[in-house]
Amino acid sequence: MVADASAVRRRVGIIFQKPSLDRNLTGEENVRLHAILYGLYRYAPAFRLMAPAYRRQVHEWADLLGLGRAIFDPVRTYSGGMLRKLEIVRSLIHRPLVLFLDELTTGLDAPSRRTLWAYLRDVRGEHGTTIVLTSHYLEEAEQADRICIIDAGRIVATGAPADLTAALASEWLLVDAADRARLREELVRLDSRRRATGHSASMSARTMRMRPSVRSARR
Amino acid sequence: MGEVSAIAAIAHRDFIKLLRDRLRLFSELAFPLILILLLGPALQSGFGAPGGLDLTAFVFTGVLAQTIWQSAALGLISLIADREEDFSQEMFVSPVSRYSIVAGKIIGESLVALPTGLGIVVVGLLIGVPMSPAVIIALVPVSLAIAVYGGAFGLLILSNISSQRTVAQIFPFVMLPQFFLAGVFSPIHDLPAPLAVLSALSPMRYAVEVTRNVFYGLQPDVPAPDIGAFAINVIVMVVSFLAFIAIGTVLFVRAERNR
Repeated sequence: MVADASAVRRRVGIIFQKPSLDRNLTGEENVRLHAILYGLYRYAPAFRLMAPAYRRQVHEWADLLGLGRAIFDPVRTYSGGMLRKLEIVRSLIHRPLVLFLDELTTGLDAPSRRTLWAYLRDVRGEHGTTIVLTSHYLEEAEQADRICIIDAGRIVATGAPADLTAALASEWLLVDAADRARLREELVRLDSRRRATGHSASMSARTMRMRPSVRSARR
Repeated sequence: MGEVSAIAAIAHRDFIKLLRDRLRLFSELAFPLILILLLGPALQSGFGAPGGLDLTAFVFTGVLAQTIWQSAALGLISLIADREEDFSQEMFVSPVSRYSIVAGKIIGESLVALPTGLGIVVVGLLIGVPMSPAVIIALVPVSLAIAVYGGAFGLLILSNISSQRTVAQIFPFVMLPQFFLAGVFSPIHDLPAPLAVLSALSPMRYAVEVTRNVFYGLQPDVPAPDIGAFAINVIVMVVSFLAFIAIGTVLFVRAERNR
């Protein structure tokens, strides 16, 4: 990887925690610079002098982002969600095999987060891009195929979301009643019926202080 | 081909930002114009014409070189501005070589420095500084060379600085002494030994001297001041330029990586 850094960079995309767009340029100029830096198109001093394929793609991206002609406006006029979307579109121009996203949706409102993730799901499905994501939002992490949980800079757990949930979390129901003997009989009767019918959940009665309450607990 | 396109695109970005920043264009022109319009004639009327030397022309050539060189050097602040605005990370994760990024920056800021030089030449013509057509044409490649040289120096100085405010703080120590040691408006070929050494170590001196080599060399009828030999000035410029670029790029890339 170190021997051919340039080749690696060509196949990788990164979106940083802080937006890395030039606010003094238009959306199209930001995209054009990226396309040229990644060797996709040759330099031209103006949009209308760029290759026809590039100009066609810019209009497609503008439609995708819902920007229309606004893609030719300075980026400082865009909203936070629009900036992030432009960054995602820009980072995918060179069709990276792996896309690194650093806290992509931090600071964005819920609707913007939802639209961004809908778009990324399409990208994953259509292009098969591998996404490596850092996030503090559990609902984002749950969409991944594999998760690494990091604590104080060390990986403390890794695996598929379902496996991690099964290993780290469990559900149980605590039932208590004033007449514990009768409760125990009832539970044993229900338990044996469950074993007979092959249900996977198991029940156990605990001895505890006499408090007529039914509590459920989810660790 | 990809690298050349990338260099052009990076240079283009800096140039476009200048064209959209009218205030910067104006402020870059104001200081040198004040020097030429006020200082030159003031020196001329105050000190007469020592040895037949036209002090206005002397100051004009000094200020032209100093302005272009300094504008390109300080233009490399855009590297720091990019870093502060988190834009530099976009360039440094791309597959473009680090030297191409730096080259694009230097060329871009050199192009930015040239309109100011043009303005100074126009004013010089208007106030009667002797300038033959040959000199005007020759000043184009000279100005480009001085701008690129200044840009390389700027890269070296600014590569390790993290904020634009720090640049304003170091300016008095890095740029101001060179105004006097480089012979912008005062002679430097008869300085006491310690100052002579400092003068020889000032990159701005060689930019000023080369400009005067061309200006007076192509106009032998205009009384010339003491100037160093053209060949020596050019050799020193080229050697120091290569050193500035090499060291400056290494320092800048290292600073960027360690952020």
